[in-house]
Amino acid sequence: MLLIKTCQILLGCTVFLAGGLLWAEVTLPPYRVFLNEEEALAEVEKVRAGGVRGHITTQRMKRVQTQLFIGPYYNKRSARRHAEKLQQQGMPAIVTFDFSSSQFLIRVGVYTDQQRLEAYTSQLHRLGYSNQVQQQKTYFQTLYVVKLHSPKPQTSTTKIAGINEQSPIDEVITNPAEISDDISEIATPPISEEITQVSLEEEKAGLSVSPEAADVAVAGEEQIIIEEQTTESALIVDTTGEDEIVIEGDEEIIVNIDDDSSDSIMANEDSQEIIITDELGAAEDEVIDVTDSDMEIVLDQETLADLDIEAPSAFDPSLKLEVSGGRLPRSKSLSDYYFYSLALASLQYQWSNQWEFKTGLRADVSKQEDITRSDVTLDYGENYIRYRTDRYRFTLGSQIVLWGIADEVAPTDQVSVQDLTQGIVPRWQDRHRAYPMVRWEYFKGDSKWDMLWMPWFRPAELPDDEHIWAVMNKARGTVFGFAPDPVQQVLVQEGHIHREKSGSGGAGVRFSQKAEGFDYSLTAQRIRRSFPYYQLAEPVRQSLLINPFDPYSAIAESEDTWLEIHPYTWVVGGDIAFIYKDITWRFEGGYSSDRPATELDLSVNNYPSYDWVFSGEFYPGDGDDRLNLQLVGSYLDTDDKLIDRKRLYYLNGQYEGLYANNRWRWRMRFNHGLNLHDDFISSELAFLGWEPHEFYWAAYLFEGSPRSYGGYYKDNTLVNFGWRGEF
Amino acid sequence: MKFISCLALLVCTVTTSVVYGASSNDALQLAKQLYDRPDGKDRASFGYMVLTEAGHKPRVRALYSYGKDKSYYDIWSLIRFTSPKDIEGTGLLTRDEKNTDSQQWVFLPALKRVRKIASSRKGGRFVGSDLFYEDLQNRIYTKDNHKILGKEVINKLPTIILESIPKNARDSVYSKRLSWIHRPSLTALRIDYYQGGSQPIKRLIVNKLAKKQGYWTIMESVVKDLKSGHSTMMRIKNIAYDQNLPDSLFTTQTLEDPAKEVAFRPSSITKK
Repeated sequence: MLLIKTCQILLGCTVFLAGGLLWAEVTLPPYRVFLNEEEALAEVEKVRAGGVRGHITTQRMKRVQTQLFIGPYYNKRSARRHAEKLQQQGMPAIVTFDFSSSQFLIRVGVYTDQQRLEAYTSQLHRLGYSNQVQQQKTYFQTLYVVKLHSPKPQTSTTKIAGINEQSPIDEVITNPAEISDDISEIATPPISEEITQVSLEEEKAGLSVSPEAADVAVAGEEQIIIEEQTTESALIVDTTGEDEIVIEGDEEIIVNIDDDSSDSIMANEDSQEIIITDELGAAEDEVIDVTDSDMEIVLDQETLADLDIEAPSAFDPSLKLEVSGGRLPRSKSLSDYYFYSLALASLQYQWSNQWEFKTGLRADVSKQEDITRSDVTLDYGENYIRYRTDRYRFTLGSQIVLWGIADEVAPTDQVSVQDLTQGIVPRWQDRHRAYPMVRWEYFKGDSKWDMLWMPWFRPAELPDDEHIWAVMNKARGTVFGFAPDPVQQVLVQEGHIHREKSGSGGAGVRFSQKAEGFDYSLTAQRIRRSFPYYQLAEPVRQSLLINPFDPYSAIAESEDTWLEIHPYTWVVGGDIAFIYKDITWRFEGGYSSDRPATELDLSVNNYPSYDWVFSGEFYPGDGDDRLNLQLVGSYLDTDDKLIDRKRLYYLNGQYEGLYANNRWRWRMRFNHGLNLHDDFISSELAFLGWEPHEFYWAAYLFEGSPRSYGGYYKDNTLVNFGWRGEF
Repeated sequence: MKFISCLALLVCTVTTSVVYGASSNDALQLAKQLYDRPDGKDRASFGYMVLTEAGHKPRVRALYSYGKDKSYYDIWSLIRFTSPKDIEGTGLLTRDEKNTDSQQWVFLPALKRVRKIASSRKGGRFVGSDLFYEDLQNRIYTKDNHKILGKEVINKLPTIILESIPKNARDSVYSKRLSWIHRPSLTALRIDYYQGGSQPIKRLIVNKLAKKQGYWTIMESVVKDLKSGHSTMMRIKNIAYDQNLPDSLFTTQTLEDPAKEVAFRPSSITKK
């Protein structure tokens, strides 16, 4: 009897115990996972009230969501109309702007649930929208895992190694299992943003995940859950009960918060998922030096999607375009309207670190009202092959090389070909053409030797003789630098110009050094200037000396009336740049052995000359504006009586200001003669807000004595509009 | 109303200072730690900036950036733009040196010249972004007076608020900077920039931090002009540390020859 009673009691206890355990298993799953922190906190309070201890860990999951778009639409109104139509059908349609295509799209929801995505796709098809676009985006989602058992002393703690001794984060509890690093998803039905809200409202309990079923797939990035375990921890606990942070990185580190129950998130390497399981636990006292691993903290999940920007390739094609048209308001202008277009294409290819190749071609089109034809010219751009090592660089082919440091008039910049087809309307750096040459540069530390040889001379690029920017203008009968004269007018209009293009361009060498606090360079050149000088043919001159007022007879004396000359000259000079009082000071000077000038008997001789530029560049108010002021001087060293000006002194400069977050730019250039009335001022206002396009309005004003630059082009005062772009 | 706001700010500031009880020495130490944060002997990265403003199309600038620590004070850097086309090839070479003023050169492809520029320039906006030239310079911590104002949690990460005021007002374009420093990574997760007033004019927020080759790296951040709303997002696509970048990379020769620089680019940062 006693034995039977004892057996009944034991059986009862066993049944009770088993029942209790079963009840606990059913009613208290070891995990409850919430999408909402408040829900998780409420759950903890709830289970604690029931005598069960619980705590929260957070787990950030990398998930893939698919955004469903329809479109594109070329204007917002059309997109909005379709969006409203979809909204009437109960679909979450929002008009968005696609920056890559500059078109409008309608976003029809964001989905992590494939079934839901397919359902909406089908519905769109039924509504007649077949122009669907799907974009996938990876993001992180925080889950709040409530663990329903007493927290045990941590088994694996580590100081965050290295860089701080007073880290607010005292301890990191980790389990160093590794997880492959592919993107994976929560195996329970994926919850989109919309669904999340619904489920939270309807269920009020969050997402429950059992140890067996909860295949939580986490992005294969390193992941450490850091949990505050002790009250001594310096981690701040805010009033919302937040007590954990998550750090994610490139590799997975499995996190185990509890030791003995071993409810942890583990990686299933085959499925590339993290599975919540009971088996894993961190090895005791295992320390992970997190500084040895790649880690990642994402603080903002709503940042801009990664743009498709790739590192530049070895092929680098480029196209520069410009179109402008304007009016010449002066009544004596040769033309009332003037149009100009430029296309400059180039391809650069670097097939190894040593070898590089570039080819380029340009086409210029200009049209002025008084000339019925358009002036179209094709020209080569930079076409060269280049070989480089650490010490030197060798370039063979047509190139643009600009020596010196001054703008507009650099005394030592005599190795480039000037482009005078637009006068000085383009900026100085855009007024050069490629020059066939052999170039060898040798580098040593911060110094450089630069040697050039131009086997074929190339004169400056000039417009047609009847062009408004002609240096010797047949329409007017004028020559740049000389006052208008009736005899000269006939000689120009009726005479013939012989252009000298043969021979070598010369050679030059330049040494430059970046020294402590200043940069300097020295140069020596034996070259021919590209800018032309016009000399009367000797028979014509002799005839004019006999009969100064009979230009027609003089012209008849020779086949060529004028000779365009480019005499050889030695140029020796240098430049220096330094910073003082927040201003970049630059000085450049040069001596030329042979500069042509015309004597009173109309003969042309070469004279020594000195040219110098002293400039200061600074940023007014330490802002976005830049101002460069230059004092320019030129002196012909001779006592001979000359028709040419012996001394020229100028003040010129440039101002550039950027406004409205660099969407507008104002450029201003000016040149003011100090010893002769000579003025030029240009102003260009450009809209830069639609890259890579620039739309500009510009005005160029010329004024001065007839012998000056401003005076010579006085009637070319121009107001124009234009567009330029670089692609 | 404004007075109340100022007062509230003042009270909060005083309170947090008292609560934290940090000495100025602690602040200086923290600033020093921030300056000394490990970032390798050299570093090379490829990334881009997105300039955004409400109602306007964003503008994107892609660039390579290289840096090398020659010594504790001497830090060299080179920035090269690769897009858009109108600034492609533009480079900026900076040599921060202890004994002399910083030296800076710019290469403008259209000009085909290297130009020496005043490194004292601080206030200009760098290629139209919300970064001032000063933000690109390596400002040593000893130029500022530092004070710890308290602690705050930013995006669940604990931070220490560090106030930095230039010792010489002319030395900086900012009158004050407040930095929310995440101690484990020694990174400012947020910086408020002041120019005289009680309200910041600009704010930097770090969006993404990552440990690359053992060095904490800001992978994405946003600088916002709080007045105009214009913002600049900077994102690093690839970065490589300790690649033994040669000194010759940080010369004017390389600056004026973008193709030469290709040889120095670690392959890991040119990948897609």
